[in-house]
Amino acid sequence: MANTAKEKIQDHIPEEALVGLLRGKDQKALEYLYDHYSPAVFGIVLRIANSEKAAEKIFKEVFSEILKRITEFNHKTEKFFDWLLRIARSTALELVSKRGFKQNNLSDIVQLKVQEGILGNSEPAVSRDFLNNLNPEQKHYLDLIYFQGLTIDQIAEKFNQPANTVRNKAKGALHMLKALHS
Amino acid sequence: MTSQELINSGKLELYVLGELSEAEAREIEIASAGNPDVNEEIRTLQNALRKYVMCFEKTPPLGYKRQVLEDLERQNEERQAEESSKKADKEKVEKFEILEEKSKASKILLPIFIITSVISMIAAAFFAYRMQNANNDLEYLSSDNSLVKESSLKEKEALLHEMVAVKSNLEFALLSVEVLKDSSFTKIDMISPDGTFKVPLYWNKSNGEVFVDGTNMHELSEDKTYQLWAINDGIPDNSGTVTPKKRYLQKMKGTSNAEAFSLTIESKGEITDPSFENIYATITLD
Repeated sequence: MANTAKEKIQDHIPEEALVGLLRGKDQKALEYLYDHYSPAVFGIVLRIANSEKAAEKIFKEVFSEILKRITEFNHKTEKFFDWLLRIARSTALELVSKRGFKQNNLSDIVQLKVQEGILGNSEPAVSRDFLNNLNPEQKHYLDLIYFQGLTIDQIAEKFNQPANTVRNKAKGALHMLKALHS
Repeated sequence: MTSQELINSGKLELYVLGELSEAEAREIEIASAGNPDVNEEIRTLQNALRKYVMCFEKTPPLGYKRQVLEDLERQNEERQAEESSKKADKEKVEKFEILEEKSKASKILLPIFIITSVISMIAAAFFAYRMQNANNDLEYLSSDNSLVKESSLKEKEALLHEMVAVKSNLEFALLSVEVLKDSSFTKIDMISPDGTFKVPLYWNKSNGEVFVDGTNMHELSEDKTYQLWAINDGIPDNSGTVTPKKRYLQKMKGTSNAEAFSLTIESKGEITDPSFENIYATITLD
């Protein structure tokens, strides 16, 4: 099993084979994982940690967690990339919460960094267009939910708004994403 | 709720954002499992959200890769070392448990065997004393009364037999003490099919010696006997008969290789194959 997958590893490795190799702690598979997925993982970690220094520590721990939990992955229920992002997000949120890193007003930082070209690297122009089609409020809600891990009720309480209003705005933001995506 | 109503309800958006309760999320998963439209809508929303998240992709600074891979390698080595250590600890605990169990058994059985030994020695001294008296009586009588002589001779013979039996019991008791003290023996409990009682077996795998403790085994009718079998590669080997209620360990035919030991009830006579339908107690070894 390992040999066949290793032969293909130079170019492309199917998800299932990659997961098998990672479970066996194959060194080349680890490098493949890093080379192909680290920008997505680091992007999420950086947005959640909101500081390069904190992100560096969390990033390493997220990779460790991915490897530790690789046996949980089931390709029948989820795509590997989605699973990877889910683990990266939940681990980073948990570590940030445990260590008390501050996550103040991420939306403003997103806007600023995107404008400065700091965030986004592989498809900066496309990403920028995609983001620019969202209004600041929509980005704000998506950030609060995805990158700060807040629930509708927590957002409502934090910003002193009715939960139903928050819920509708969050749904509206996702609808806009869907429209932009299709 | 129809699939279109579900799609328009806004619940799918909240599901994708992770804002539904566990029960509500489960309902959506059940609904989507049998509904391609709902399933497709969820996938579209997930893809859209993923695209948003991917806008923030960022290549980690140079040098992170080496650190991450080194960290992972070190953790892997630590995990392997920990697993080896746990395995070694487990083996130690198992060995300790065996010794502990033997020690417990020894704590219970040793006094019994020691008491038996002491009683046997006292009995031997008593019989020797009586034997001496019988001899003295015989000399004292020194008459030609043949009946008296015959009676004394019979008494002497009976005493001699009793002495031999006591000596034999004493030897067995001392041997039992030796086995219980010897850490090369592993105590293995053969268990009855209904799990209600155990017959301890002591096995020294290195030299093949096998002993059975039949103290608590049930008495059998006169035409029946207990037979021990050592099973190796599925082939039963007759290890000898076990007498119930003996208060010392009974030495059986030795074996260095066995995957199981079984004690069966057999009819007295030539026994070549076990009656596995009459298993009294058995143990399969790992």
